[in-house]
Amino acid sequence: MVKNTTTIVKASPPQISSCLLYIIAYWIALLILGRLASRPEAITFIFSWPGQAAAVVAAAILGLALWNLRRPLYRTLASLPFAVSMMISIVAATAAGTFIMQGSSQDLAASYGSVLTRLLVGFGLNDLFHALWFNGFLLLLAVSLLLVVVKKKMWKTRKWGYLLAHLGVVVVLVGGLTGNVFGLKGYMDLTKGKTVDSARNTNKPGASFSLQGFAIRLEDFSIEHYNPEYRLNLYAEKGGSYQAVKWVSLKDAADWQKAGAAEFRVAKTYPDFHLSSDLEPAREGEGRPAVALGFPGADAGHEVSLFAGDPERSGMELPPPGPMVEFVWEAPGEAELAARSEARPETHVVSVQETPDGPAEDVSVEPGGSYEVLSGKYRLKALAYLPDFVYDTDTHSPGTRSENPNNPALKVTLMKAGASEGRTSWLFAKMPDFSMQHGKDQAGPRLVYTLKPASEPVAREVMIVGQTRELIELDHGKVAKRETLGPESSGIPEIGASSYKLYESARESERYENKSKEWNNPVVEVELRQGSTLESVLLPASHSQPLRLPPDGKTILALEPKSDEVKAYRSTLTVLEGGNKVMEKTVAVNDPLHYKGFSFYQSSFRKEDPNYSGIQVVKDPGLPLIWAGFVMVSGGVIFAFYIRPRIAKKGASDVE
Amino acid sequence: MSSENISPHFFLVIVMTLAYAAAFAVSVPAALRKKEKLMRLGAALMAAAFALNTYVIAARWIEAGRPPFKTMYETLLFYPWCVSLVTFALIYLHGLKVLTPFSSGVNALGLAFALWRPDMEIIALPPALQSGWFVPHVVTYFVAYAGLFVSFALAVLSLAQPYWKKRRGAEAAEAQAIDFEKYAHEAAVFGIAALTLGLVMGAVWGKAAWGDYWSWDPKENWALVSWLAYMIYLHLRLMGDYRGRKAMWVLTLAFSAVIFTYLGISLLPTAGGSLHVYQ
Repeated sequence: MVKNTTTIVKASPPQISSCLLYIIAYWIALLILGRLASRPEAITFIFSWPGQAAAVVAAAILGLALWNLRRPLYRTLASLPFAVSMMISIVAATAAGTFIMQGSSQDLAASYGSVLTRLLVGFGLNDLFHALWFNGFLLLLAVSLLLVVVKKKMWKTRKWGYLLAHLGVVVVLVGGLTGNVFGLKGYMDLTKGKTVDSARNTNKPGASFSLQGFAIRLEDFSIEHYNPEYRLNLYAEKGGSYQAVKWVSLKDAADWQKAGAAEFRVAKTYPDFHLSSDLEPAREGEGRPAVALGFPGADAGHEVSLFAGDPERSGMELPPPGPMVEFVWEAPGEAELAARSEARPETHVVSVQETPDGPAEDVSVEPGGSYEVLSGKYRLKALAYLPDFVYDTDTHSPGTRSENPNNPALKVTLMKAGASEGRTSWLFAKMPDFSMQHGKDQAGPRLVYTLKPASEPVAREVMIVGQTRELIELDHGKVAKRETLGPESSGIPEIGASSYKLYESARESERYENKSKEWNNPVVEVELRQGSTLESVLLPASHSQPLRLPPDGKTILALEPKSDEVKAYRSTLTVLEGGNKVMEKTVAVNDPLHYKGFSFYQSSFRKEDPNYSGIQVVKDPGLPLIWAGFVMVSGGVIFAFYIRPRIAKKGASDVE
Repeated sequence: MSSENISPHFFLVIVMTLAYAAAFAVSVPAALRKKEKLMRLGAALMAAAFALNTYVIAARWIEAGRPPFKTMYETLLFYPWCVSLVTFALIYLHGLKVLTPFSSGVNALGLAFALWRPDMEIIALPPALQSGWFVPHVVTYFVAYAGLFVSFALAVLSLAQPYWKKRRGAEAAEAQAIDFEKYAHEAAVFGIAALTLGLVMGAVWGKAAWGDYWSWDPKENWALVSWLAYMIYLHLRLMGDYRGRKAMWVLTLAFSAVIFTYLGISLLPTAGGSLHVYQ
């Protein structure tokens, strides 16, 4: 009777609830073990004399306990309830790892506070997927899978599908473990031409590993972008911020588009805008003294025009060791020559022109200053200067990208003498035709802004004097040579010019051109129509300068690319062994390089550094096991559910 | 980014949503009152919606110049297609027309969600998605999700069956004949097989693209959770006292993991580091 009862107890499988309790106990044991293992004194203790003895004793006790409990252990671990409990535990842990931020305790403290963080770290939930206990769970799962294979005798022909599926999971887990223990994972920061024979170890910050006898050199790196597909984006101001209203493709924008009370259309698109100019003689007062210098070179060479008195266009710098070249009309005096050797500060010049054909008046201004212009008829106030103007489409305010004068902009107000208000606008030195209007009054004198950048003292300079047809060579402010220029066709050998042509008064006729068909510098010519007024403005995509639309400027139009997303990035890598090239391959995302157990994956690029390529290096001896396990699991599932039943059916019908 | 720009196929998406909704509206009373003709009309409406759905996906494929499985909006167009496909397969194989209200209902719901936040911008494929694995991986997963939805619907039907029988009595004699539990299991097994293949393909692709077959990314983790949830179902079924209704409850519950894997990842605090979140 008694014996009979024990048999029944032995045969009954454990409950899921008790299995879950066993797993929780296992978890706590692993947590404690993990905490101990992370303490250096515990490690030293284990390797010291009493520690070794204690470890041996502990191992013996554990081994003895396991041996004595082998039957109930086997019965439990190979049971269905345990398998279900183990999977529930792994599901719970995996889900927890997605709800709880993962990272170091410092990272976590920022989002969870110190108390909760300590709790999470204590329970091993902060770096859950790499914690000892989580890997212990996977190990226990593998053990349980192996035991169930034995218990269910899955090697029997009709159970092959289950055998493959169960062993497949074990093989994947063993493969993962092999990779963790014997594999290497690292990162290489390559730049073009650089040869590297080691990689930063991703798993051990601060450490690196060697490529074991070979090196990798980055021969070439390229980034391919999707066609940027420029289009017009329309934003509307709503409560201080701008929101996207709609976009219009350039094709559609050839027809009039409504934007509030105004209408706009694109009259012409320049993918690679270039302002080209030719010199032409002008009547006195309508131009400036000028010289056209011809330089030899490829094709027909090139021509440079210098204008006397134009702070930005009067001089040029020849490539080293060439001198500075300056064009003046009237011969300078001694004092003026001596001053040229001194450093010159940055100067802002605003050219004011009352009527399109009238004379222009140049005013040197300082931001914050106020100046009388056009014989006292107007007052010009310089309000602010931004060296590298950028219109921030997020904050919708102007700012500067850098301190370098890449896109100099000057904010000015021009008002009639005695008036308290006037026209305020941003003037752009590089875009004389583009000004961002803030006031309604857009009529009045035309303003053109030029920035003469600060210059270092000039050591060697060549001056060309137009009126006297002279050449003056200066050395540290002293005249080194002064002679009359030869005939125009003989050029000016001192500066390498093969020809020159002097004009007492000339002006440039400007042409809008496309340098190429590539979208390198897109600009559109936009026509704005409101009622009967029609105006034409250039809208460049560069620097995100938007266009404020009439009547209130609350709607802005910007020429922007749909995306500048990267289509592909590729690194041409060579493998070097003993200095010899043994292999070359262009790697890309989804197309790695494999060599001697190492794999090199294209992983990152840097927008700001076109020569940089980030390569992930992986050595994973567990990989064949992973692939084998994948095949086993997929094949096993399909065999067990779809192939085996058919064979069984066929077999059954054959028997019939 | 735009509220005024719409895609040329937008109108068709509205029509298709309405067609699925009409199929739902017709097939619900048809199923409840056992109106065979009305049910056939419901299935026909769903077939019409499915044809439109096929056209819309093809049009989007051509318009985008790439497989239309990149954005949430695109997958919300593709999922109904897969659900319809699996539903028609089961109607063909086992005459399960009773699935029509469930499938057309979820399709109309998903599409309404897509229309509520139309995000029709065509996003170019980033380098990682330019792979031969892109189409098989996504299609396998969506077919799996469709199979598991159908299995969920059948599990709900099997759980509702006793109450239904009680209410309708002898009239529902025909309903008694259908073994929903058996079909729910069959659909689940199909879904599980596809889920396994999708998971494995994802890992193989991840290895080629990023160098890691598994990186404990939130989407990967939830794919694992979904897979294990169905593995739990398969194993619980083998325990005597979990067969039948209990197993059907587990099947119903397991589908919530699939929904979360598909739609919920962006809600997770850890989603920021994921490479899988729909934009």
